[in-house]
Amino acid sequence: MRNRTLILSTVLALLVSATAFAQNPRSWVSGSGDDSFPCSYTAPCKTFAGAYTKTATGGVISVQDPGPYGSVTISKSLTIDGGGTYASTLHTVDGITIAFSSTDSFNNTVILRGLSFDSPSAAGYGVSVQGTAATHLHIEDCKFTRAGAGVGMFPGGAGSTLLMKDVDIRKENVYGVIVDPPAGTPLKLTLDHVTVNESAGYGLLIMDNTNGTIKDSTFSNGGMGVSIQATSVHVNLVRTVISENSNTGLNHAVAGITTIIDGCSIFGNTTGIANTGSTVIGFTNNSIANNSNDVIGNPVQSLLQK
Amino acid sequence: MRVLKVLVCLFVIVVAVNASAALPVRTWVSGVGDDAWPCSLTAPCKSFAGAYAKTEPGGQISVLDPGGYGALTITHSITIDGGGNFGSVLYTGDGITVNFTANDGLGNNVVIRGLSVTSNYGGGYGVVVLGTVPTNVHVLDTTFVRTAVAVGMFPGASGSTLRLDNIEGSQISGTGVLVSPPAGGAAAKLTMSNVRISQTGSGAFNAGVRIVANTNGTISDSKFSNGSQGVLIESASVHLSLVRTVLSENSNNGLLHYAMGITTLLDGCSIFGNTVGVSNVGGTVYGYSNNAIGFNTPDVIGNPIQSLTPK
Repeated sequence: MRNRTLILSTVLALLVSATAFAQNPRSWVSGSGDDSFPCSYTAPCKTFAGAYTKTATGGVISVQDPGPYGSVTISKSLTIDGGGTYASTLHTVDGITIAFSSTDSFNNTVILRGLSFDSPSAAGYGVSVQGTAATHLHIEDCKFTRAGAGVGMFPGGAGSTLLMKDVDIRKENVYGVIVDPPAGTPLKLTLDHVTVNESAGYGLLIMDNTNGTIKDSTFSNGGMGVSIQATSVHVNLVRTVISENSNTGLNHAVAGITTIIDGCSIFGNTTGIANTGSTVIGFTNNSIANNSNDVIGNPVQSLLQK
Repeated sequence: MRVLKVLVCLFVIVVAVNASAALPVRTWVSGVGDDAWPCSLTAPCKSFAGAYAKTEPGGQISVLDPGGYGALTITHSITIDGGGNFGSVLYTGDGITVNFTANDGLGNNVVIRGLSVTSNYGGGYGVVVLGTVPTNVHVLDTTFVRTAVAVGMFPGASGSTLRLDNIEGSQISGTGVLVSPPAGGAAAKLTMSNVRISQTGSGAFNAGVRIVANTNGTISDSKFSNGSQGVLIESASVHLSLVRTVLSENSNNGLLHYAMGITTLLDGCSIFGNTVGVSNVGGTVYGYSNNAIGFNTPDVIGNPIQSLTPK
């Protein structure tokens, strides 16, 4: 009897250790699941706590359908993602590459929503637009973490669109967002509630030929906050925070650029605004302080509010 | 024979009563559903139109998984909830038509949430409100792409309501939001927050928001950019407040008063990079010394902005 107990214990121990080794990089929970299941897509678990024990450190628990999943105590890194079934892309080169060589019946419109981009190799673009035709890209409710760059917009066709809302970008090696369209009709850029943190090179780099409005966004703790490289770029910054960047907050790389700032906060950068030979228009409602140099070059032209 | 007829009539009535009583208040659609099924959680339908026919007035259609669920005409109160799953409507005529011809006893309320509405020919209305009785429509968390008009409000009865929250519209060939209630009677009530419309059509009557008549409205935390007109108001019977809203890079006017005698309030707004910032011939625009209006050519045409002192 004692032997039998021992054997049982051994079998149990083996089972337990096998379970420990088999922890999922991604688990699923569902209202119709059961915590005795393996938390796979086809056999999901019932609670966050049940899925937690079967999920590897750094993994993700995804939610298959709306429901109550109970409380859970967390003592290892992981993601619990209930958002719109947030599909995720782990990319070693580029995550999603968009390349149109002609115009399709939907006018080359791509919408990416509820996605999470991570690069185990900390390289490549989360999303990269290439191709030769004008491309209209919307990115909504997405997260980008730890790649070479979050979003690279290099359409070969003029008159393209980049629209981003509710996007969070963190720890990119070079660019949060880079925009580099060709000559012709300007690219239209709309950023709303976009946060770029710890992008080592640039939060937002605009190379050329772009009209844009950036509203309620943040570019912080990176190299440069927002850098504009050509006079063909016209950008309005509204209620946007550019802070704690090791280089310049708002950088005009050449003379002759005009940028509007309205209700912006530019703090704690080495240089707040680099504006040699260029124009920055304010409305006496921007907070620009606590930079080693608040403004280099032409001062901010303050217009009266109405 | 007469008895048989009576019995048959009774039977039909009983069946009819049973059928109407049997409609669920909540139905589901799924990409793997079938409109022949009862639209239950375990046997979902395939299209919004299929589920609508099997949903009790005032009930809700939920989207089980991402998918295309087709165009729909609505004539009674209903909620369509794409939740986190973003049901999509890909249409050829109009996307969702709301057309009440009688009061349904439930307030004539329609809620549309979490949808992605796209025209597959670049035209039509994403959501259009018609009908002959007062109608209350809420559209939330919804994206419109490549429609002629994202949301069109043409209720036949006065006193209707349009509420829009967290709406994205882009590549709209005509107007983003078009509000045209009856000229007489109670004003339509318009409340928009976090609505962003960009790249509307280039015509003089294409706008981010176009309000034709008899509307009281507030638009906050919104943005109308890169189109023809930002906000176009066509009658002195429209009273609109714009709060923390951006009108930028429009090829005609940021804000256009297209008739005399219109009064509009601007509070914390940003109006720049338009050909004309504010066109206010014979009208009144109140500001609170907190609006950024610059870099338009010119900033204001007509009466200057009356700056009130913030308290």
